[in-house]
Amino acid sequence: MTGPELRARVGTAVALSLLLPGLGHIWVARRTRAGLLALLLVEGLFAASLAMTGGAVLDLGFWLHLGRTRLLFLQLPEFANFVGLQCAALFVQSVEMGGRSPVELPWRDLGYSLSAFTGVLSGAVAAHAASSVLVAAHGGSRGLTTPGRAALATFLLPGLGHWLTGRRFKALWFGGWLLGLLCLGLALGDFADFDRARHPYYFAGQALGGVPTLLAYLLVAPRHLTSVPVFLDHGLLYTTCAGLFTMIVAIDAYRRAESDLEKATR
Amino acid sequence: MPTLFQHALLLFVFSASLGATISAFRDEEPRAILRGTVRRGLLFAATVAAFGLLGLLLESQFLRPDS
Repeated sequence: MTGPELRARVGTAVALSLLLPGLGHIWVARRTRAGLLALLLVEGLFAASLAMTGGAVLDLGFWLHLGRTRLLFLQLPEFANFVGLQCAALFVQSVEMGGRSPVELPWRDLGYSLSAFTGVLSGAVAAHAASSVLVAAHGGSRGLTTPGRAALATFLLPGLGHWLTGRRFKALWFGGWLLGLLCLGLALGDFADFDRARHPYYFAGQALGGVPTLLAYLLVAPRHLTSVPVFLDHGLLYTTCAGLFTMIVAIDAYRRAESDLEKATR
Repeated sequence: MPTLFQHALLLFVFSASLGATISAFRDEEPRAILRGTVRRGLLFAATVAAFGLLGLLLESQFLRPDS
């Protein structure tokens, strides 16, 4: 397979995965079992988050209109699960429309964070689909950590993807800086930075931090503001950038693992 | 309201983390990463500080109602 052909297949796998998680695995990489697992995991967690929030998580997004026609429902980071999000926006009604307040729902905070996490997971599944195509083109992983696994591991813990590819210094470097930035941001914001209902745009960036952000959200979510902390803006900036930087680290882990694979093939 | 020193400290920490992430993204060797972190961090902090200074000057010279 030539370079441009391979790039086209990788691009198709990513596009299909972002349309519906797992579709890239099934259609392009011919990994039906992995694709179905990804589909069930992402959509199952998304459905659970909708149930926990009584559909109120969709109140954080909005419809894009052309005249009076609804074109697209926009919500970050769930937009990476395109079909799931559009179906939910069409068919799920928020509890607020029924006259109830979502504050009454006991699992609301977990639902808000889990819903965002499914968007990030969907992006990671797309990276894994691209990696599956690459590995197949190179005739197997040759015992190396695949690019998709390295990217997924980064969302589990920043630096873990680099650790798995044998880059110990970079793993500790990234992990230390990003977790430090996240913790410092939380302290600056008086541990009230993660409030998706109050700061939905900041949370789109914060959620990219993956599992550490999800755990931090669950730990501090019950803590809501009674007064505005002096350094809240700084805390929001720090925690949001910790999430955005995690995305950069995941891209680096992916391309370093890809480079290792190409070197081993030559 | 945070003091100027607190702002400077927060800018320094943020610039260092930005420099650290970008340098490790671009380079592989620990020495190059450390050097790049210092260079990029200082460059970013100096640029933001320059914009801040420009804003202060504009505010004091032109944007006050009594100026």
